[in-house]
Amino acid sequence: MDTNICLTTAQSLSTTSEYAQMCNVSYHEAVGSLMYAALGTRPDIAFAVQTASCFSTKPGPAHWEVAKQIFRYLKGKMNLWLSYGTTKQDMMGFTDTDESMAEDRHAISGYTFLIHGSAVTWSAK
Amino acid sequence: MMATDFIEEYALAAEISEAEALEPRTLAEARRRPDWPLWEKVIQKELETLRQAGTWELAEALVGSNIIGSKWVFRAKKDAAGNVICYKAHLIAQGFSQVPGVDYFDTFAPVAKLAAIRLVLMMAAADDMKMHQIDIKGAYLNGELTNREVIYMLQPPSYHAPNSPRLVCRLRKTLYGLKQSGCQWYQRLVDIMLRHLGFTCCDVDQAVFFRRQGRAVIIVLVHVDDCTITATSMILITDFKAWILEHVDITNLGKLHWLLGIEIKHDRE
Repeated sequence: MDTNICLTTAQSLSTTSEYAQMCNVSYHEAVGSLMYAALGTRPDIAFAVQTASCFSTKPGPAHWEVAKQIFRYLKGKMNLWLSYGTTKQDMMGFTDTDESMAEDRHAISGYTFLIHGSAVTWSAK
Repeated sequence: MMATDFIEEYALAAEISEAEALEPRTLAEARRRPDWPLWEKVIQKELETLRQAGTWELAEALVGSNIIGSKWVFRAKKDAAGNVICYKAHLIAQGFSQVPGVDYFDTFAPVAKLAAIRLVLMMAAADDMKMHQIDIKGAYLNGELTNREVIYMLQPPSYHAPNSPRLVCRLRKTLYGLKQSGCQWYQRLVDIMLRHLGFTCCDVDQAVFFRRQGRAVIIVLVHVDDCTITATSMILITDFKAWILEHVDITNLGKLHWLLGIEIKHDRE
């Protein structure tokens, strides 16, 4: 996800033209399928999908653009795989949180644990 | 060993079959079709399977008991090229009319967590373990109903027992569509794995079973009817398949390539 994009609920539907634009968009389903990718084998999109999923209830055109951007990214990076068994090393864990930076003041936290240098569990929420 | 990428193959397949109307939606519709003899054959086959499994016995329903309906559903299975490879008919119990606390109790069934799957993949890659996959045929038909669960079901539409059309089916085994089928199948599987095959159930993920003898380890990941077997040697896998075959019917899918929409590639033998 681009660092200069900032999604807020203020970008949700407000005008009739925006409504007309979004009424045929299955945002929820799109984010749902991205979510499975993020949970299954794509830690790289975990944060972006998490952010996009915050606006599932009332998505606006700006949110939809971000969701499409994630699909484009996936299409471009289809050759990325999780790779296991390449190195032997100890387990490593990384974790980070931000403290209520988001507009709803919820803290966002993320972690990933690597065993033998490859990601086994991760999360962003 | 690596894993990636999901294609919405299932959704796509469903859309295609809908558009081409390969599958009749009701028994009446199936009867009107030119390919009815094929469907009729698979219906008979399904009835025979259910009879052999001892799924039900005919009985008089107790007065005031809840009798659930049953329905035939039809599926035409296609290969990757879109050719129909087999027809299937399933008898489905209409579980939506079951009453909680009377007709059923628990309905949960654990499945292996994605993190557990990845951890096992990682272990397999690190220690050069073998991974195979089997599928349990008609998994839900193997679940057993307890004595507390007395379920009456109408006889299969249009296929009543010739001498006793007024009797109903008292179910002994679970059927697709019942609320408790998933739970009862899991219980049966636990019984097979723990009591008969000497496995241990993993503490943190109830759908992971393992057995260790010295340096030989075998791990089984369960996702409803899909079992992924990981073992230190090929002999262990072959033995496991033979053991489980004594209890349930299986389809051997061979080496693991595809798991829950995740493609698995092995780049080392």
